[in-house]
Amino acid sequence: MGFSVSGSFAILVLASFIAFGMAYSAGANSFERVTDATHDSYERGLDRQNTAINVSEVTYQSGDLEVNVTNTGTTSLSINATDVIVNGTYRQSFQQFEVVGKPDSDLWLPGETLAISVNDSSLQSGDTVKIVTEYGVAAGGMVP
Amino acid sequence: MASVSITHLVLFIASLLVAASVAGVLTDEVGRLSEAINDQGLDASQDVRTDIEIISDSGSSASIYDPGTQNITIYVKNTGSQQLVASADGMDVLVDGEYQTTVNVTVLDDTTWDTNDVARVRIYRPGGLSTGDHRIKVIVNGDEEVFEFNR
Repeated sequence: MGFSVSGSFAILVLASFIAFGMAYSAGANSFERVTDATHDSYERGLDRQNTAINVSEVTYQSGDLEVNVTNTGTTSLSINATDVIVNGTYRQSFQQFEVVGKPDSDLWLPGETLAISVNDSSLQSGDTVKIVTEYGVAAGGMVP
Repeated sequence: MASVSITHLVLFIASLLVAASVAGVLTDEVGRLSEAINDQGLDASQDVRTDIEIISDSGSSASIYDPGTQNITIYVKNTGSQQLVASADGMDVLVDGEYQTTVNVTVLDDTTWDTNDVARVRIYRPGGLSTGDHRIKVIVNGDEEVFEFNR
């Protein structure tokens, strides 16, 4: 009888250890995954709060729309992640799309101005221009 | 004496079998529970990492609804930190509270809808869109965004 109880107990203890190991690793992995995601989300939220842009100038001459946008926030932005919507249409080709004085850089740092030039002869006075940064922060202007 | 030993042996084997069965069921059930916890954690982290913004210009309402094709077009930017599914199966769209079934999603500047990429969402409204205020709600991985415009 003694061996039966000891043997059964040993099997149950071993199974309990295995079960606890599985449950703990699953719980710990999930918790870490969600914590990482939450941390990442907070970081992006903080960057979004620190992002601000301002359309400083919009000119339209001979079918060329030129827009100057200044990074007035405290985060560095990416030009490749910046989107332009002119008169409600998403634009993918530009005559000029660069930070003033830094034509080869993707970084749009605080205080710097992004110069955008689009050729579109169909625009009219009052049409809208919208610039959207990588964090979704946007600024708008109007065709003069 | 021999019969007592055989009885003990039978009881010993039986108790081991019962204990092994219980242990098997326990580890099996905990294994299933662990898989469920893993899946739940993955889903929760994907929900947290998902963030979208509707970047369409509500000031240019003429470009949002085309009465000729009866299509509503909006641009949705992935502002989160994970790749999203660029198809109608990956998002739910409601226009003025009505669930839309004919939705076409196209990523504009890439082949996959990664972080910072913009997707064009075309919603076909066979009944047309009356003049006045309208509200579009886009839901991706639990992240809801509302876009209001005037026709």
